[in-house]
Amino acid sequence: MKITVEHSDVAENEIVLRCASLDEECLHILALLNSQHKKLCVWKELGTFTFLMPTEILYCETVDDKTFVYTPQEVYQTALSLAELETRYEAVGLLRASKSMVVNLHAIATLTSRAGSRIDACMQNGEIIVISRHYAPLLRERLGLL
Amino acid sequence: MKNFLRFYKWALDVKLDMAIYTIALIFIKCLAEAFCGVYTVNSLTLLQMLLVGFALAFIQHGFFPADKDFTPAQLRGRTIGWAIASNIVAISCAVLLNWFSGFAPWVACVLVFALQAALAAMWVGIHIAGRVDTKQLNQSLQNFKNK
Repeated sequence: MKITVEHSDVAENEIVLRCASLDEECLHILALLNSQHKKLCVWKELGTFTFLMPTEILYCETVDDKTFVYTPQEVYQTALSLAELETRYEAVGLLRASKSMVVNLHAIATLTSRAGSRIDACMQNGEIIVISRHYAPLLRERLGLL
Repeated sequence: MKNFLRFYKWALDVKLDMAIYTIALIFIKCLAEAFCGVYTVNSLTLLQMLLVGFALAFIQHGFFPADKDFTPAQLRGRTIGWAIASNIVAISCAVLLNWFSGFAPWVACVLVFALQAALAAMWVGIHIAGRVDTKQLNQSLQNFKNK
């Protein structure tokens, strides 16, 4: 794929994708671009909302039917469910790690294979997330190991 | 809560290895008995084997904690210590609890050899297979991030 960057005096950045036909590669790029711009609305206290870039997310977790979003510095709450987060931001690297957790693959520092087909994911902030044996094959598939 | 979760995760790992050791002990016992035409195993023996399996798993996790890396010299030392401790526990329990009483001495040699083979297989599983998989996972993760 040829990538060309043109500097010009424009009010808004524009991305033009030229292709003979929309193949898998182009669809993946479109999904990625689309997801990057879908900021996630979160809050710490009711009344004070923040819009997060998906790339800022370390992982998301549900506790007592509430979904919490973890960034390197803060913990927020969001109205989206884990399934919705996983679907919406799959292209930017969010992957289900367990029944109650979705992890951002780009925020993982290292992975460690554990007994029982489990995988430990060490995040950039040092936290260890356990990817359960049920979801470990999904991770391997996503990384191209299966 | 953090300490409890850490302990629970450790217990999950130990229980898995405990199950492997227990099944191996029961399998050898059943095989040895079957060769003599006996097709039952005492339930007390099964319980004893479960407890010895736990002891062996505990020793393994004591010598090879999951969250620590070792230098080759440290690994060598720990492997020797682990092998000695595991042999002492397994053989002394087998003798004291009469798991294989009444067998010819050559059978005892075969059983000891089988124990060494089982321990070697465990060691390969912990230190080689797991590490190769970890290396592959991290390589794939880097490739994914660089895409």
